[in-house]
Order: sequence, then C-alpha cells, then structure tokens
Amino acid sequence: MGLEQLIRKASSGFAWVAGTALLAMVLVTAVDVFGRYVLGNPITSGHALVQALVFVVVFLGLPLLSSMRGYMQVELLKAALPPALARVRERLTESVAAACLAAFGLQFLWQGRYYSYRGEFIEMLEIPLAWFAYLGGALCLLAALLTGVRLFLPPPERGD
Amino acid sequence: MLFAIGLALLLLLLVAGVPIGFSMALVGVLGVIVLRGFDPAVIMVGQVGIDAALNYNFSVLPLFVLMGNVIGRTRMAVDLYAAAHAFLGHRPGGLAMATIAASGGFAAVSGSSYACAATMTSISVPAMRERRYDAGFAAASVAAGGTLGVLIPPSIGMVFYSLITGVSLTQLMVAGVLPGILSVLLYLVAVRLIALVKPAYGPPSERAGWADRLRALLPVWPVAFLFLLVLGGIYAGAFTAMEAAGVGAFGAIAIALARRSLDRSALREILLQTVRTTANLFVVFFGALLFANFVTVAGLPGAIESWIFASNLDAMTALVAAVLIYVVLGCILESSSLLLLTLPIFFPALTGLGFDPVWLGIFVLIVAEIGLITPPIGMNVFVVKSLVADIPLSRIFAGLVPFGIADLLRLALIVLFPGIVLVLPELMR
Repeated sequence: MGLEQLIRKASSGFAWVAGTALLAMVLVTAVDVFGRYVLGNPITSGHALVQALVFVVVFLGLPLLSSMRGYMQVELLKAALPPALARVRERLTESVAAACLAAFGLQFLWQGRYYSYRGEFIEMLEIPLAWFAYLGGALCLLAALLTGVRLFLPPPERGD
Repeated sequence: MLFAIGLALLLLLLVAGVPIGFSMALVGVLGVIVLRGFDPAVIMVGQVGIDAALNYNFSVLPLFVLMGNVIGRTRMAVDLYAAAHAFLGHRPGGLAMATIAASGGFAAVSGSSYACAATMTSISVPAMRERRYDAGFAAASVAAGGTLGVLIPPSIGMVFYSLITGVSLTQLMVAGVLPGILSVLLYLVAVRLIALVKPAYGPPSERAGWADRLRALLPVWPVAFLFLLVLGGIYAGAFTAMEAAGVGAFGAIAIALARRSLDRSALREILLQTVRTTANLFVVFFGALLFANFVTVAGLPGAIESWIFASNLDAMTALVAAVLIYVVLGCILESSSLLLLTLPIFFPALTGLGFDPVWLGIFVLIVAEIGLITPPIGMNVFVVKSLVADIPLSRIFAGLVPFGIADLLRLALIVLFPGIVLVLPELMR
C-alpha cells in the first residue's frame, strides 16, 4: 500500500469516528432536552458527555486537516508569487505549522502526565483527564507528521 | 514596544501564509517566553489547549455549523429564494431584493457568511443574469447578502465573542435579531435606490399572483420553524444556547431526512465538512487564547486604558479608531479570526469607556461584517468571485458601494439608538 493510500485510509477511519462522535453530540443534546421537558428525566452527565465528544471531534479533525492542507490561512501571497517562490513559501509555512503541531502534541502529552500524577478526572464521567490529554497529544503529533509528509506528496484532491 | 514587535511578527506570519491559528499561537507563546520565561509559557500551552477543547461552551460551534451545513445541502435556500422572488421579483431590482431577503432567511439558520454567500451565488446570480441584470450589481447583492450570516443569529462570530469575553451567548443572540432585521431592510432600500437611479441594472420581472406567492411560501416553513425553535427556545428560557444548537441540528437533520434530501453519502460528507470546520475553528480559537495571554501578560489593556485616560480621548473617538482598525484588518482576515485576534485588546478598553458589552458585541460584529465586502480582500467578494469567474472584481466592488453606505448608516443608527440592540435582551432580563 502506497503512502498516499495509507493516508487516505487512515483519514477515512478518523472521519468515520469523528462524524459518529458529532452525531452522538446531537443526539445526546436533543435527548437530554427531550428527557428534561417531556419525561422529566434528563441524561445523567449529559454535559460531561458532550464535552468529551467535542474533544474527540476537535482532535480527530486535526489529522484530517493536515492530510488535506486545510488550515485556515491568509492567501494574499499565494497567487502573487512566481511558482518556484510559491513552493518555497508553502514549504516554509507548512513547516511552521508542523513544528507548532508537534510542540503542542508534546506539551499535551506532558500535561497528561501531570493530570495522571494529580489523579484528575472529568467530573461526572469518572474518566481520567490524562486520557484526553494523551489522546490530544498523540493526534497532534500525528497531525504534525501528516503536515510534514504532505510537503513531499502531490497536492490532495478536493474532497479527500 | 515588545507588543509592537509581536504584532509586527504576527502580521508577517499571517501575510506569509502561516495558518492563522498557528501564527497567533506562536507569537503568543514567544511573547510569554520573553516576558515570563520558558516554563510558564509551555505550561500555558498544555493547560489552555486541554481546557479549551473540553470547554462546554465551545461545543455550541460544531452543532451550529452542522445545522447550517445540513440546511445548505437541502433545497431550503432555493425555496427561500423562490418565495422572496414571488413577493419581490416584480419590483425594479426585485431579484436582487429577493437575494437579500433569502440571504437573511438563510442566515437565520446558518452561522457562516461564506456558506450564505456561496449558496446564494449559485442560486440567484444565474437567475439575475438571465433577466439581464447588471453582472456587478448581481454579484454585489449576493456578497452583501452573505454578510448577514455574521449578524443574524445563530452566528459563529457571536459564539467566539462570547467565548473570549464571557458575555452571555444567549443575550448576544437575542440582541442580534433587531439589528439583523435592520440590516436586511437597509440593504433592500439600497437595492431599490440603485434600481431607481439605474433602471437598466435590475429590470422588473412579471408580478406573481397571490396564489403563486402563497404556494411559494409553503416550502419555507422548515426555515421559520427552525429559527423559531432555536431563537424562541432561547428567548423563552427553555434552552441554553448550547441546547438550542443541539436541538437545531437535530431538527435540521430530521427535516432534511423527511424531505429526502439527505442520503447516507450526503450525511457523511456533511459530517466530515463539519468536523474539518470545527477543528479549523478550534485551532484559531486556541491560538487566540494563547495570544490573549500574551496581550494580558504584556499589560496591553491597562496600557491602552491609561493612554486613553491620559490623552483625554472620548469614548466615541476611541470607537471610531477601533472601527478603522477593524476595517483595515477585515481586509485580510476572515471575521472569526478578526474577532479572536482583536477582542483581547479592544474589549477591556472599550467596555472600560462605558460601552455595554452586549451592545459592543453586536457593533463589533457589524464592523467585522463590513470588512467582508471592502477592497482589497473582502473575503465574501472572493467567495462570490470564485463562483462567477467572468465578473471582474472591480465591478463587484463598485457594485458594493451602496451596500457599504447602508452598513455605515446602520452603524450610525446603532450608535445613536442603542436600544435597537439592547431592547430585546433587556426585555428578556
């Protein structure tokens, strides 16, 4: 399996999980409101569940963005530069993005160790906060890797 | 001095094309390293990042984005345009008026000005050109109509304003209703005046009978239902903004399924698009929080307040200065990034001068909106231009002049009559 194919498969898996988490957020919120007003019985820990789901959506979205060079940017210079210079600019800016993602990832992992040491949990769900920090850190590092790898691959197709 | 260097570096990174969120994060972290040392800066990164992603209030964003994406995929925008056309099409400039009215309707269920502009461009520009409307005028009316997405709730800009300043999102959403209606009315007047001065720009279509009008109005009920569900639920105190977003997204999916405009692959694509947008907005939000920490550590809000006090600057002059800065920055930044970048600096200073935080939120959103249609880089204009490549940019910008004047008039009205913004939130209290 080529690198391009591997990225596509992994992205598709992430998209599936993140999309499911997003739909779950919608359902949890709607059922919570319905339960509160109609049945007089809201979902226990509904808020905490939504917090956890949005975390998953956000961090799974990072590798997806990296795989398609999709981060929001100002495109003033993009069209103005000659092709050779534009490529240099793109490599430089993507390298900065990859370095930032890698630094964030490492710092989130460190934060996870700190949470683990302090024994902190997400209130109501009883899930260790460290797990979230580790997940966020790992996904940031993966996003950094993908941003770096993308520099050496042809531009992604629209809708990848 | 250090802050000025930081700001210059930030602008350099932004113009070079480094992603907006990373640019703000980088400058924020470097600034705190210089002022406080390495350890506090890197600890800040971990703490702020995890806290921001677990922020319950942030979860309102993906839900509103999802709601707008689902609505964009259904034929609701087409139905809105058809209904507005049936009522307004026979007037001079009627199709452009229909575009503005339909954009207002679309904005009421979608929080993004780009989504609004892109959706309405593909629907209304071909119709206007078929009726021999002036191409620049047609494209300008869509670009201007798209800006309504920023102001008419639900709005992504409002969510960010609330997240950064701590002002109640519920209050902001309710406060946006009357200024939103005012925006639509002023844009309609602008179109009417253009058609009066230059009748060839927007020839009238045939008048639709009342039976046709009512028939065109029927398919629009889901939009009215969703808007009333979300805003009505918030206004009545039945939902928090977060719950309203969840219920709105659920309602949009249910309506789209019932209308058979959402199959499995469309749902998959919408979810993926929403996940990407959410992650993108999060990166900008995270970067803005780190930048805001630098702003605070550098003591900038206090310095600005002291400077305003020392130079006897009155509140209105400070407001005008802020407007000018927003319009200039709005030329290169999209509205969410613009708000996230500037609020940490301006919010403490302007509220310190006595401006109501809710009023200020709506005011700032309107100013950010103006940046979307002003040259050289009005982002909405580029969204429209990307879909109608043969219309020169210069003609679109020329066509936008009357809408810009309408925007300035709206700003003046809101400054002179703050009640336009504050009456509904006060009634709610």
